[in-house]
Amino acid sequence: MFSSDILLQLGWTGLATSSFYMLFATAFALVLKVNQVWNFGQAGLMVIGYFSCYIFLQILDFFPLWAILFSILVTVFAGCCLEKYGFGVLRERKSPPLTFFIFSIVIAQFFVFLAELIFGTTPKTLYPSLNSKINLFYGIVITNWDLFALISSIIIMSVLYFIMKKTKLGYSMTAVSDNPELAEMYGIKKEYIYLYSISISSFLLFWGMYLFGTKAAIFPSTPLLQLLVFAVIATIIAGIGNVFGAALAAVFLSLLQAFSILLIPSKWQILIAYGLIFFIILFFPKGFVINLEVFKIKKNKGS
Amino acid sequence: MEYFISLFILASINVILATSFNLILGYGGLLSVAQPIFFAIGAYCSALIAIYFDIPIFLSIIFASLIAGVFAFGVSLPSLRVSGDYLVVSTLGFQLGTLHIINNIEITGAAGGLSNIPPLISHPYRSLLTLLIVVCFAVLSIWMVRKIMRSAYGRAITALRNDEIAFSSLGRNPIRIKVLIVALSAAMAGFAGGIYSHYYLYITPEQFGIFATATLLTMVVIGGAGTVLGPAFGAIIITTLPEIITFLNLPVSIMAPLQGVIFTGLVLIFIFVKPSGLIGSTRGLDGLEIWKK
Amino acid sequence: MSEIEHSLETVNLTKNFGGKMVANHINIKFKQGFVSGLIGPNGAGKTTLFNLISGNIKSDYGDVYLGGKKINKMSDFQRARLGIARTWQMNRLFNSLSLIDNLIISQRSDYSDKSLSLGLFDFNRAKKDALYEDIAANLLKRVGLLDYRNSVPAELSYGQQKLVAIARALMNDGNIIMLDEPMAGVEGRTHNKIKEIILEEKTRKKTIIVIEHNMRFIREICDEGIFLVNGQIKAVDSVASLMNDVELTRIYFGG
Ligand SMILES: Nc1ncnc2c1ncn2[C@@H]1O[C@H](COP(=O)(O)OP(=O)(O)O)[C@@H](O)[C@H]1O
Ligand SMILES: [Mg+2]
Repeated sequence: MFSSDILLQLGWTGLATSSFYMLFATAFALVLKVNQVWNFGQAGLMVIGYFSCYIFLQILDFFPLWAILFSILVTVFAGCCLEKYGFGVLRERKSPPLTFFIFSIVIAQFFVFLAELIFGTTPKTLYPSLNSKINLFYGIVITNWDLFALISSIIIMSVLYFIMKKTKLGYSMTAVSDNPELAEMYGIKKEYIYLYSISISSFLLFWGMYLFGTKAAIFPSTPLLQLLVFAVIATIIAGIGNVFGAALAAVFLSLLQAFSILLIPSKWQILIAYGLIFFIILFFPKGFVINLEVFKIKKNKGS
Repeated sequence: MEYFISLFILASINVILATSFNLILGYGGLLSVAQPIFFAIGAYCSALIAIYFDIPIFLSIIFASLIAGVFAFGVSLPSLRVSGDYLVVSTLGFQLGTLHIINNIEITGAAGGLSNIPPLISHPYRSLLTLLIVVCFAVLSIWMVRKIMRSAYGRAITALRNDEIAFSSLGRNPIRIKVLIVALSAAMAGFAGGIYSHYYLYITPEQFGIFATATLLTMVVIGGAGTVLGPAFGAIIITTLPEIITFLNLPVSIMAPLQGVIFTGLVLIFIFVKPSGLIGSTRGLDGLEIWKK
Repeated sequence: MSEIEHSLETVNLTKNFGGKMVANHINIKFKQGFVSGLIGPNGAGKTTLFNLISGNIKSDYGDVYLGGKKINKMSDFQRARLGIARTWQMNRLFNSLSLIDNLIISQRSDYSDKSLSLGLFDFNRAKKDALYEDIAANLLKRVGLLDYRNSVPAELSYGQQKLVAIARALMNDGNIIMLDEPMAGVEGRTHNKIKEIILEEKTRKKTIIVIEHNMRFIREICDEGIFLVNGQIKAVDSVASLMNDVELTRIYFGG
């Protein structure tokens, strides 16, 4: 019914788009796992990262490399402030989970409104022109942006994987997420670990926003209304505590959305994502990946 | 004069909305970010029923309110079976999804909004009469929440908020209570939405988005979550205060985000400086502290 | 009341948390009119066993029987309504409610949450409460806290809170009573009070299971000891012979 060219093209576009979704999902899942907060404030960090880069590039006219470096610093700094003066204070006060939720949602909204106030509600791009060179590969369109986005995200994810699985920092993050009090007894300072994880998360967010902003124009509300929800859905698909599972789930979501265009008009595509929330909560409340583990154990015992 | 009456009608509608939200957020300890959407469902359904069917407006408001309640039931039941965290996620998805649908279908007027809504009252003194009615309902909603919380049922809600695991292990069904109060609260919001649409006669989807959620949270948090009068007080302040800056004659493109910055900024200040809210006592068990274990 | 009717039994009850077995094919029968002491090192899975029986967590495998009926599929509140009552290490009292309300709400046939009108037409709360208020007040009197009936838990000492938690479990008036470390951090009069209550309930033919580290207490009141290590039952015997077992003592006191 559909030619293989079209299918391949959709698959490739979905994969390329997943580059930034993957980063957003990982950033969200990491903070949920280590800092144990549903950081909706992530949308605020995305706004900060994007618009600081916009200022450096378009208003102050910096050389792109410097603009990127400075924006990374700004985003990471903002992330650390969010952790230290926001979540950290609430944690110290033993605030109930609901206060964390309200804080993290409201801080995201605050930065969206602030950006709308300063930059207006019209969409903004990072560079005056977003044309990316087009390459044809066996009839499939592959832009330079696609390659740059995918390769850079894969490198970043690999480094993160290495950090999480092979370095002391990674072990400490896992220890703190498993049991903060116990980790402290082993001499791990959990406040520092929280700062490290939100810094990593902020970096991922910035890079995702940079990729997004070199492909499409962004409204100040885009991170909160579109991008954040994807990260949240990917996280619950993978199951809480499963950082790299969330990245995979983001790729899955992105592909699903790309192929869905064959069946439903593009304006309704986003509803698939929202619908998935209910599907997951109804049938796989612990996420897919963790559920698979449970099945395995059950089978072993039964036999 | 007409301007002030209209403002007070809006304030009273917000009192209903904030009071209903407080029932689940403050007393129930449940965060549903979709409360503005239940307001929207009430507003749109009531308007559409009134436009397409020949029934008394008042009945269409009641129907719409029931529809909002049923939707809330359907949205909250699956997630509340899992955990309160998932209620935030599922209501967020529901809010964005519903807004997207309203924005893209013909019957609701899409992004342009729905107009030509028949009025609840057509009379020379229609504003004044509406104000009287809506003030009555605002008082009624406050009375309802107070009555519930003072009944044995309210005692159960309080115990559930204090410790859900202990509550259910003692033989009480927590999901049933949670789903019912979420549904009741949504029905109240839907009712307020119905009155809104049949007074202002024009509604657009953008009124029910994240800005509405931020505003509603502001009302409840600065007034004092988990107090009977706090959210009502917060609603009146938050509705009337911004009218002062309208005299600056700023364009809408600046007004809306400026209000947003002020509201969310207020919530942030209250979270850290006065979590008990304006009305809450400083004994430490009111406002945001009410959820402490 | 026949013996079978209220017997509590677990068959191959199994649970793991992220690959760690915290309950490993647990088979026990708890007897009526018997006080069973559940002992074992920290992290052995004692509380987890309570959670599995009360339904706070679901088992991966295995069954729980109450009076010969499988109750696995039931949720925690349904099991509580069958008469399984418990306490927690951390008490978990309802901090915003007075002591008397803490108890009234724990009556397993409490009418309040069944109302579909959400209490809006509940105009005679006092009259309806009166039914349970007497029972609750009696229980408070039994634990010696009647004077505090209108206080909130935070106004009590830690030991007094433990007593309220026990009274709350008794309010259920079920046949199974599970107490999780009732003696931790409790001394003197309160200690004796708790002992007295447990022995009273024993004479009323209740099935009582107590998790406890205080060996003197275990020896004084328990009819049998169940020794749990790494989610497995190592021994079920009289407390005296368990304590004489060199191997078990070594595991317990971490030799
Ligand atoms: N909800 C849970 N999730 C993961 N691990 C748990 C959970 N509850 C208990 N555990 C683990 O199970 C083991 C047994 O715990 P527990 O039953 O509380 O031990 P005990 O009461 O004998 O001291 C511990 O290692 C604990 O960390
Ligand atoms: Mg224990």
